[in-house]
Amino acid sequence: MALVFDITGEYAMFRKFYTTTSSASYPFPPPTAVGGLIAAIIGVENKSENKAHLASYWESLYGNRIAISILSPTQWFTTSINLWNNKDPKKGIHNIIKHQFVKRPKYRIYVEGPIEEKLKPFLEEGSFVFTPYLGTAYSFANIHYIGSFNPLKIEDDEARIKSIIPADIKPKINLKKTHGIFKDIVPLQMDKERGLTKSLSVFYPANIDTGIFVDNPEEIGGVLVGNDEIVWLPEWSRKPSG
Amino acid sequence: MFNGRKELLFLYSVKDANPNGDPLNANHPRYDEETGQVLVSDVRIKRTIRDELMRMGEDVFIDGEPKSLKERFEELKTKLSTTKGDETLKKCIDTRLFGVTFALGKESFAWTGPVQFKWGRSLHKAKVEFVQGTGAFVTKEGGEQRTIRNEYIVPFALIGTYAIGNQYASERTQATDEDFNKLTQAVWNGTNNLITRSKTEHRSRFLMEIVYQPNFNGLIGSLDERIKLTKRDNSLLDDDEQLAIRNIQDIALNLKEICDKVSLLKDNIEKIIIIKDPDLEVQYIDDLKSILGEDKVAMELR
Repeated sequence: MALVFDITGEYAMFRKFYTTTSSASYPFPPPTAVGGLIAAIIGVENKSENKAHLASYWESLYGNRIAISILSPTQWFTTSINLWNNKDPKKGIHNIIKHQFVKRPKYRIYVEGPIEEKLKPFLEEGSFVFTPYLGTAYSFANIHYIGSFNPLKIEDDEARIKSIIPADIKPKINLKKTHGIFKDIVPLQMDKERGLTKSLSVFYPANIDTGIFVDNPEEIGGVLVGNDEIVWLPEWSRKPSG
Repeated sequence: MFNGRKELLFLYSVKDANPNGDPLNANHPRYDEETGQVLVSDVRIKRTIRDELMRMGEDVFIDGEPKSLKERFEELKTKLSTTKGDETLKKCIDTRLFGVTFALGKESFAWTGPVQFKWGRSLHKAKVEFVQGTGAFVTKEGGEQRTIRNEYIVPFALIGTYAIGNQYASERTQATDEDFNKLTQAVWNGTNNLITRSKTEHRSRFLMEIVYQPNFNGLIGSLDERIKLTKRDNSLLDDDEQLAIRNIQDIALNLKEICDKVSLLKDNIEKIIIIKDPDLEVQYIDDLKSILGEDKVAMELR
């Protein structure tokens, strides 16, 4: 089975991991952010009280896989934020950092794997252990449970994929029908020391209503979950391949 | 730790002042171009709270002074007779409530704050005005023209902020219900005490704290988006009327949607605490009382 839920909020800021000082955001939560969100809902600790960088919850995420769809057209909001300059405050008390936020985001998350059993009751009740948020602590996430579905293989010659698609599985994209797509590199998973163990090139639609038309859905493992045609991202695993 | 989950809604008005300037935009009030709403960062709200907590005699880690992390930490260790970062910051109310990322020497840890504030937003379209004034001094001796001072002000805005208090995160930082009560006092009194030049005429208007039963892990959520501003006769304000609000007595706050949600979750709610400015008309408080029972709704006019 696969669990499906929507996340919405007023703002989101999923910082691109390959930038340095600027806080540029992905338009959608990268898989690592979704991992953290799931861990927060079911209440797996990160153990960061021992070492600031720890992300111990990854242990409980391995063996599961997810898919991510963008449901609302991406709108940006850019502003700057005063951060405390704790190295040389006499020169200037603040480090002023530009932040890029997604406005009024709405995403759909699909989850498949052993973690479903733990996650499902929380989604059904609309409850959580740790407060879920969209990238920054002040961007609260509202969670809406959609349901639990049996994923069905797409056997048609064509599919309109709603989710982000890994580039390395070689989707045959019908650009004429799709009109536009974007490509970006996202972090896929981390180890419990918060080290990046695998990143991934992905395609995502320029127009969320259109999605991405592909001519080889079966080859790339396209599935129908509820009403959505999606493609799973690679499973989170202790020893990722590739 | 907190006995149960909490939600906090806090409303304050700003008159002829700058609620929160954007430092890379000439200190223009933070502003949502599309909706015409004025924004206030969570950091601004927490600064207000921290300043008031210090006035209340509490130990606060981020005191707002230009000090390096090391200087501030040394200061606190001496004051609190502590040695380690962990024990020092557990004695500071702001790190217990808002969390901290600490990395100094060999010690490093991060606490997610049990209290997270969202950015505040005006409940209506608001104007931003650019005003100029004459400074006190001339730039050169013997000069006639005094310097010109430029600034942005918002003629009026009623701003809503929202926070969640998470009982599980409070376990780690050892924040208590008493700490949370101090926070609610500090946000109310601290807002009224904002008396720097750009923050004149900030007035606390409405505070609502929902306290849930200890075993409950849900919440109503986004209280700030579930309230509505109307005219006194309950009719909607059109765009021009929203821009023309200059007085709290011209408007009313409608809690109907929160009321509906409260009736769904009423068995999980321990109590609701309300502090209200007598000048602000708030609708549906009586309904809240009849849903939950008089004894579960504590209201104070202030």
